[in-house]
Amino acid sequence: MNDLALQLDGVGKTYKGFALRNVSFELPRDYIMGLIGANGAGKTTILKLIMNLIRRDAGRITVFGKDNLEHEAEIKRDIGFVYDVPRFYDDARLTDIARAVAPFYPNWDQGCFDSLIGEFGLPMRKKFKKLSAGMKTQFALSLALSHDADLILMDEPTSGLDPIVRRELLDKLRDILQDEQKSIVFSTHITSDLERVADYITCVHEGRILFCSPREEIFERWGVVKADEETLCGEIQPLLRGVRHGAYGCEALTNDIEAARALLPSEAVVEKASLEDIVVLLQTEER
Amino acid sequence: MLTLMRKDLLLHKMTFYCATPALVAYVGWFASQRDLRGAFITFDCIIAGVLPMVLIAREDIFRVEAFICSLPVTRRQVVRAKYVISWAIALTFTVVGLILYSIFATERLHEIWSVSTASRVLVMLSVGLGVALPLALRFGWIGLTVFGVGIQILAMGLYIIAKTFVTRLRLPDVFKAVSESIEGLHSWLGDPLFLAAVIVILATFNFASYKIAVALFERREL
Repeated sequence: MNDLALQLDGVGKTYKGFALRNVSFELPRDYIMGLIGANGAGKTTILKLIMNLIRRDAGRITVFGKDNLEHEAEIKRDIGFVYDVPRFYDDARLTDIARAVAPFYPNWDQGCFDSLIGEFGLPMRKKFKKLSAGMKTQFALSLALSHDADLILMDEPTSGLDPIVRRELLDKLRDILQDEQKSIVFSTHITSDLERVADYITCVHEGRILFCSPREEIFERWGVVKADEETLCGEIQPLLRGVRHGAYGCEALTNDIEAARALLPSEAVVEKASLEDIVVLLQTEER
Repeated sequence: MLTLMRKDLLLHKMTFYCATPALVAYVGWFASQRDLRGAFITFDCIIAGVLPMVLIAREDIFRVEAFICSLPVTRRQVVRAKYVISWAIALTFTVVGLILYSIFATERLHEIWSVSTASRVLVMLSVGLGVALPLALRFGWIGLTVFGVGIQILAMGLYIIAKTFVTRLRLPDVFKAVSESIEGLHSWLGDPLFLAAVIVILATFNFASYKIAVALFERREL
């Protein structure tokens, strides 16, 4: 049995005005990976490439050791996919959508599906277009989790949801993740969602993988340096990224917190970076 | 493939519920118009051929292609299922239309139920589905619109060219000559052989269309 749930090796995709270059990372079985990055960084493109919804220009993607193009149907049986904006047949009732989807999966568990639908309180007789954004995501999640998928891919499942529904959805996800052994890739720009659940964090920036590391390692290595402009322009400069100028000084990102501390004067502040700090300051660098 | 077809039947059932009474009303009206009897088969095929296109256009409008392709199927299987279900729907609705016509208009039924009608139906559905399906699967409803408008522009262009430049060539004569040639071939081969030849030619055309549709759909970015 292959120990990797997902492996991307040198994957590339070029659009007019955007390119995903040399994307490589691995996700071991039964771990959760968060994909972070600003809007347009390439998170959705990576997930679509894994699902073969778009054609890759370079590289190789394997899911549980199998190439995602050569074994497409077989691999997709083991994947539960939740889109950022779930799209089903607008004028179809939820019960019909579920009846249409279930036969595609040999491991479809009607009991599990009914239980999730009950927990979310979804009205199965309603048409899909009549659901709120939160309910649509909950329905998509119910479908994705009811066929015993070993790998769950979720593309910004919490975007567009109000804080209450978002919290409920995350709590539900956490329950599922604690109970079952599943590999999950979860893309979001709401980084606080990931700080609670992800084992690995992969940061995508301008179509490149900036880092792919265990969560703890990121919090150990990445920091925010706060000092005056003159200090940040000194010998520490090569260690800094995404410098932001404010009314009371500057702040910048570093991926070597110890080295930065050693080079900075005592009045400078070095704090551990949150995922949000990393995304926001990298966004500053881009501008 | 059967699962994909079942999905289409389940999730488009409202379209079938709407299309069936419309077909009955349409055939009833046609049967009451004695002058238009000759055009009935053509219009029956057009109505029946449009229905599968409506299903594909609906999928494009709802933007569910990504959902379909995220199911455990290959794109080739999606295209194959679309071809089979499109043919099944088009043939069913054509035949139902012909049966209803036979019930409503009781005269000259031998003209409706003949090898000539079968050949006409197969040719029209093959050309319609064979050209429209690759466009619809690759470009969605825009592809269908381009197909519809394109055919009309092509027909008008040919008509204008024929009228303006080829003064000695009269279009009705051309159609008549083609029709007579086919009829001659029909009587020379006999019913079974003629129908077999038509089926072989159309099957080849549809197979080529399917291959093109697979190649186009596999390149579609969702």
